[in-house]
Amino acid sequence: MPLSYRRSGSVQFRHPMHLPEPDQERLAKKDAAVKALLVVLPRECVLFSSEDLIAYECDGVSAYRQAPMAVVLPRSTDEVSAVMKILHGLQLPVVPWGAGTGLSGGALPLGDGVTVALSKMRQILEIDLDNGCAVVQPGVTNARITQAVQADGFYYAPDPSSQIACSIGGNVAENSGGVHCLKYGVTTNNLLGLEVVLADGEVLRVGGKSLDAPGYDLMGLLTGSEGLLGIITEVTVRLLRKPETARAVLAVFDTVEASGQAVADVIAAGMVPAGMEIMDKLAIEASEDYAKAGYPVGVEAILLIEHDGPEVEVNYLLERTETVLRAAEATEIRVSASEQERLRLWAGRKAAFPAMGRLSPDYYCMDGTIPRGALATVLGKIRELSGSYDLRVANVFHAGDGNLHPLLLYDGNVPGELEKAEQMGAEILKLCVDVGGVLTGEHGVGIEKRDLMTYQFNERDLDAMQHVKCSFDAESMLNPGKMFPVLRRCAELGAMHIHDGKLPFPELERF
Amino acid sequence: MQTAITEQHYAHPDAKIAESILTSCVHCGFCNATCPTYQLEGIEMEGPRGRIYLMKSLLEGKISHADSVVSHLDSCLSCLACESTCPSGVKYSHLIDSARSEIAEHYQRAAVDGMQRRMLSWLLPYPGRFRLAMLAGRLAKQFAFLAPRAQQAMLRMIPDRLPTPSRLDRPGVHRAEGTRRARVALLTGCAQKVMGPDINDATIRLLTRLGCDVVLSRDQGCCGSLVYHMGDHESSFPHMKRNIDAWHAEIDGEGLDAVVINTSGCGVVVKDYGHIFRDDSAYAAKAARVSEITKDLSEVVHGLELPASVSGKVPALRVAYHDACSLQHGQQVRAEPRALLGNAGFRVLDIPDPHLCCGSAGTYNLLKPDAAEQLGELKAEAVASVSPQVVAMGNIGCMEQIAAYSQVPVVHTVQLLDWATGGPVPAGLGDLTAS
Amino acid sequence: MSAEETAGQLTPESTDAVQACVQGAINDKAPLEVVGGGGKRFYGRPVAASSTLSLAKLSGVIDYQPGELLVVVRPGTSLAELERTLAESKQALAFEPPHWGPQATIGGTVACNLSGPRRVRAGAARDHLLGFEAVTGRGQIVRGGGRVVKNVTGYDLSKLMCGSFGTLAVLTELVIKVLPAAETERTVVVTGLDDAEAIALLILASRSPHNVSGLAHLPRGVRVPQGLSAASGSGDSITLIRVEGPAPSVDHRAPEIAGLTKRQTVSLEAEASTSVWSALREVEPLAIDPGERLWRVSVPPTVSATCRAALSKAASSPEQPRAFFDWGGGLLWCVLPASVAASAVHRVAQDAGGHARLVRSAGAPQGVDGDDAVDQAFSPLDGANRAVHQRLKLAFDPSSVLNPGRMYAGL
Repeated sequence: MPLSYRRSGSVQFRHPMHLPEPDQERLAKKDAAVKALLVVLPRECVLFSSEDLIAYECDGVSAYRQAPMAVVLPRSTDEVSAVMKILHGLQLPVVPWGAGTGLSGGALPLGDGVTVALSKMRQILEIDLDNGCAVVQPGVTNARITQAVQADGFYYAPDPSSQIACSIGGNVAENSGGVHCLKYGVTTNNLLGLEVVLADGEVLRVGGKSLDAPGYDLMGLLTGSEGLLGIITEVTVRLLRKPETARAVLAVFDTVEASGQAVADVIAAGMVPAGMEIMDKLAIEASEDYAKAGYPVGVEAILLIEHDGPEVEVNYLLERTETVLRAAEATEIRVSASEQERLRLWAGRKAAFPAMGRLSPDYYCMDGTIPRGALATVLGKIRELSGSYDLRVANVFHAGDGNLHPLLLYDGNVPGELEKAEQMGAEILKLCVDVGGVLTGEHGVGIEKRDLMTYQFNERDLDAMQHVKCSFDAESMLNPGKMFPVLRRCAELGAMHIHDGKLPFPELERF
Repeated sequence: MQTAITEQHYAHPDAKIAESILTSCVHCGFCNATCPTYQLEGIEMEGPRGRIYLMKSLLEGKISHADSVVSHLDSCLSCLACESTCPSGVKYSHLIDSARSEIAEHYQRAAVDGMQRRMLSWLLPYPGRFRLAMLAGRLAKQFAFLAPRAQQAMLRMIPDRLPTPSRLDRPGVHRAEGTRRARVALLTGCAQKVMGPDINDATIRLLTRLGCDVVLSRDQGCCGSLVYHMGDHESSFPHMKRNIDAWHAEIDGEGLDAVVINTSGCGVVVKDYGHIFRDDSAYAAKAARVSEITKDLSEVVHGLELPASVSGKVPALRVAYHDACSLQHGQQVRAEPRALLGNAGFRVLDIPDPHLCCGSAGTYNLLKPDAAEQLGELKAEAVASVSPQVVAMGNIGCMEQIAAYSQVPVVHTVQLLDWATGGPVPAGLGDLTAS
Repeated sequence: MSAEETAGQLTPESTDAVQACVQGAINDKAPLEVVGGGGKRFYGRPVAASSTLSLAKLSGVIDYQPGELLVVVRPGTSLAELERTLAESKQALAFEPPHWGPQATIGGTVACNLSGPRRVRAGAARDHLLGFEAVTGRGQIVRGGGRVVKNVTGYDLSKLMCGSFGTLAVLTELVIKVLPAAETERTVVVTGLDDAEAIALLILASRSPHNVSGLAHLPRGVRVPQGLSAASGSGDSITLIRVEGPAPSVDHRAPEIAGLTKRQTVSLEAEASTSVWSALREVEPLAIDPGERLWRVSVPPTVSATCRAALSKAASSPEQPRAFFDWGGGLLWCVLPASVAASAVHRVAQDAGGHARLVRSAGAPQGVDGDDAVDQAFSPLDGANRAVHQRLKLAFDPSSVLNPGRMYAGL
């Protein structure tokens, strides 16, 4: 693919997404901040020169870049707490960073803020199989948790495709999913406890090894809060026994509608498969070209279904699924009879994303959720948009839980193409909301979808979320500029503040 | 990623390649998952994604060759685990090679560091000098405790006894036993001639036994990789060209079915000669031809297959197989050595975290002893965890490194295969033959 | 559309009407006791309120989509009725909530985060609430979550709503995930195990790949549900492990479970099995007498047996308190005399790494002899937790009109 290149000495990158201007007053505090941080952290854990900061200027979304004022790499909860006390005292905003692999810009730094990277907190603290859990530090990667317990026949169920690299802390912040969500839930359904450090350095522990906790479900509230409510410093995850076996079936359909209907039929037949994936024509072609997994090319849709569990049950369910698929008029059905075959059936699907890189210099992976029944409608509209924007789109759909990943192919070196892709992406996300779905299934809002929040929620809904924010971080020091389009102050909401120990409505009993 | 190389950098011959490599990187971070230095440090710049970003920023003129930048690039092992993991096919090796060359040209190293590198360039590629230095070094080793940390590592690598030089390793042709099935050239290398001559001997015995004429060209020698990977491309080219000329002469002459390499660290570079000399009008075609037919020993032997008579000749020892990075990542060869050892009658064991470098990485364990020590200890632990009787691998650098940290006897894969097909018991395994 | 006012009882029939009630309460500074069917008043602390806001008339299924595995329902909908509706499409609420009486509503279930034995496998109520609409204590109508499982758009307010006992907002609409009902079930029964042996067996079963969906243990001396009396010996302890699924699968897995113990086992099927789990779900074995209290103790399974022993110590009794274990040991239902101070119970639970809740007190709601039990119905929160709870309450219900004091004094 011929590449055009820029030879000019400096290039302006126009950010379609508005990034806040660094505040001069805050920038002036840099030296004081670094000095204070070096008292509580060793030199190698505090980065502040431009060449040390540049590699942290973006997370998994390299289109948006902004170097932070400093990066700290604490190694323990105590160090995180000490750091937050300092930064809170100086009123400097903080951006938490897990592994920096997020796809919504959630860990994109602030020019006048400090990035707190948890990548040095990567110990597995305890494995407790009898209580079905493990206690880990936030920098431990998702896959490493499973690796640590697989010899005993256990695993950690939520398995996002970036699992070898993404951190469990990041998973909690984004409520990450994976292929098996319909049956096993997302991150929030697989946690037992969290420890977080709040904006002022206070350490909050919620949950533990018991199955529920007293009071409100703060753990549920913190999960998916994208680094805006606290910095996660310890996670107690639920471990499950690995299913005895798994088998998969691949079915080919003449239309996307037919594949969607087949999914509904499988559910109507009373089955909840471990995974259900649909790929459309372009996604199939790209994957096949790259992985040579033997997928039929030129077909409109492929449906992959996997059942796992006790062998007897898996065989029974697979047989029943085959019956349903035949009745749904699949033009071809392939069933795996061995582990190798199962892996082969999946190879093409797993190659979908990397394969895009071969079709196009850049691609924009979107993430929205829609009701399953709306799939055909949405794909039809996406096809229309693809035509009017003149950008190809391949679609990979987690049919099990409605999470859709349109992959918009573009060339970043062509002026204006990134902006076009983003505009098209925004229209697709609005479409998801229009059909009764949501803006993001697992990548998070970050900065990417921030400005679309008002499309899904009204003022009062956002007010309610702001109440939550104010309860954890009244001064909005944690990850400002992410998730919500307008930075609001708690005072605007008429929230009650506790000043100098004096409570409003003193006659009301407090605890 | 979007990339905007400055006009000044764009003049460099490597610029276009660098640009296409940088463009292919999508900054996903998967590579960090398998990077040994990222595992040790947990800092972005100690992983491939961060290093790529530093190299990009250098080419875009956004940062200069500051000490910290060079240090992060120096600390890369070039193990290429990242290439194995990358879903986008980023050719990291070419990018880091190019960056190292830039550093060698433009960065003023600290006195001791610079001197150490120059000394290694002067010494390692030349077996004669190297041997003398090793002999002299044995004396210096007694006083290792007086030396600065960095030099201690070097002294520690000097063996107490140097093996006698090989008698088979002389220019000429070793004829195949029985019917000739192939004609191959063998690279006998540089450091290996001094530190592990038996590896070459075992190779020659095995190949001739399997029906190969083994050609030892007069002019073949150091492959140039150690010097090349330190960034001194210019000094490495004469070594490389000499090899290319020698083997090409054979190709054009009586013909060669393969250029066989039994040290994977060299194998990676020789397979890359075609890329390295792509713009050299005199050498491009010859280099490409040579690279095309270059194979690791295990690939060649796997193709020839071990004779059926091999079974039962040797005890079914528990052999842990260590994947040298240059073989598993650099050349993507993993299955053949295991299959061969299994066919030869050994019980082959996998080592946990096989993707992780042992810390040898060419001259890395001499230049970056701290990181190398941590990795060496991790590897020794991993080896011990499977309770092997022997640990085998296909690269002399790994052998030296693992032997320094592990109690388990260390051998080259070819020595076990040679033994299984009728050769002598490898040194150090005498006790195990009783079973 | 207007709220019906009957001597302190408000029964709105629409979201707007609920909003009017809340707004009225704010204006009048008159707190509300918010109830679904009023069937869980005994659970938690009593509410001092001027009037009762009942959601009994805010009921009905708004939208049921079996193919999408969700139902959108009004909170006042009878739980029994909802379950019947789902059963017609062979679906169910997988978290198997207790009813505790005929007036149970889905709203009350969600507000109290009530879940039954199948929680060990399917998750709790909070894992099934996908979205909601509610009127906050500020009189604002807000929506959170959505109609889909994969959703990380904004904070997960559904988790805040579920289990907050109506202290932050009045739920007016619920989006609940439903799943296919189990096709068949079988329960493996072992008798005569002591607490430690039983919990060990339950843990073994939960660690197996057999997908168990019920793990309970009834110690000696606890009233045995009908249907089990035949299976158990005289007053022996009874340990129960349930597997569910298609018949061929259950046929295979039940014997595997039975094989985990060397003891003899019997198995219950169909009605016999379902009726036992219903009884356990409803906590029937632990009816309390005057002067007694029913505590719900949530601890890590491995320490639940010692926890029961520690509670008997707190009760200064040589005999173990009447109790039974659910959730593989993760839930210990325990009857203690009123003389045992709440603080003692909470201490035992928290030392074990969990917490306790007073569910039911026999006698006047204020407790016997002016004790503190009802006041401390919920385990105390540490400083950081308490502060966040306080701020959330202030944010969502600054005038404290919604179920004030239902969970903690001041919340």
